[in-house]
Amino acid sequence: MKLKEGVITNEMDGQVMAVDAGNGTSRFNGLIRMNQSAGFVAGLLKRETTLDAIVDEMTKKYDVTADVARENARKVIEAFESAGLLE
Amino acid sequence: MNHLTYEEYLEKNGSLTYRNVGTSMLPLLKQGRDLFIVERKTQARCKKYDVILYRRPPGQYVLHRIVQVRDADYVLLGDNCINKEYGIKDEDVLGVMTGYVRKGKQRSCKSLPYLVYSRVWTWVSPLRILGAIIWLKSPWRRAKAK
Repeated sequence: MKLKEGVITNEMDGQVMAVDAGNGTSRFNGLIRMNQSAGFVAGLLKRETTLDAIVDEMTKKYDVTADVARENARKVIEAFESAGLLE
Repeated sequence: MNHLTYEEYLEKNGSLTYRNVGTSMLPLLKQGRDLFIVERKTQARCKKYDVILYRRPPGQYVLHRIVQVRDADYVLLGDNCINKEYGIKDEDVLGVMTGYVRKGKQRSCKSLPYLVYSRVWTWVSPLRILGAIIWLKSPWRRAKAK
C-alpha cells in the first residue's frame, strides 16, 4: 500500500497535513490533519510499504513496543483509507 | 472531517491547508502540484493584493486576489483570469492566504519574492487582460482553432 499519486504532505505548527492535490473536484474532502508521529507514518507511505515495515520503522524511531506501534500505525492507515488517500 | 464545510473547518482549526482546483491562480498555484494555506479572517478588513478564500453565492468557494478594496465590497481577479469580480463583501470572506506549498516546500506570503510577484502581477494585469483579449479575437487564433 502507498499514498495516492498527488497526495502532498506539509508540516506546520507541529502538525502534519496530507491533502490529495491531484483530486480535481471542488468537493471539500481528502484532507487529513495529524500529529508528527502520524506524519512519520505518512512519510513512509509515500513509497510502497507494508504494515510490518511501518511498525519496524516506528519502533526504531520512537521508544514504543511493536504492539503500540502497530495499533497506532493501523489507526493512521485507517484514517488515510477513509479519506481515500491510499492506493 | 469529511462532513465539515470550509467554514466549519476554519472555525475549528483556525487555518486550512488545501488544494486549489482549476487554472485561475496560475502561475502561482498549479492544481495537483501546490497547496494553499489560509487563515480564518479576522474582524479587520482585507488588503489589496491579499489572496482570499471566499464564498461566491449561492455555494461556490473561490480563491482569488483582491485588486481593489472599496467601502462596501472587494474587487477580485484570479492571477490567470481576465474578468474582475465585484460585490464580494466581508461576510463572504472565509480566510486570507498566508502561504502556499510548492513542490513540497512551504512558502510565506510575507516573503520578498512573493510580495514582489503579487505587486508586479497585479500592476501588469491591465496589459495581461488586453493581451488576452487581443489574442482571443485574433484571426491567427481562429485559424489555429480550425
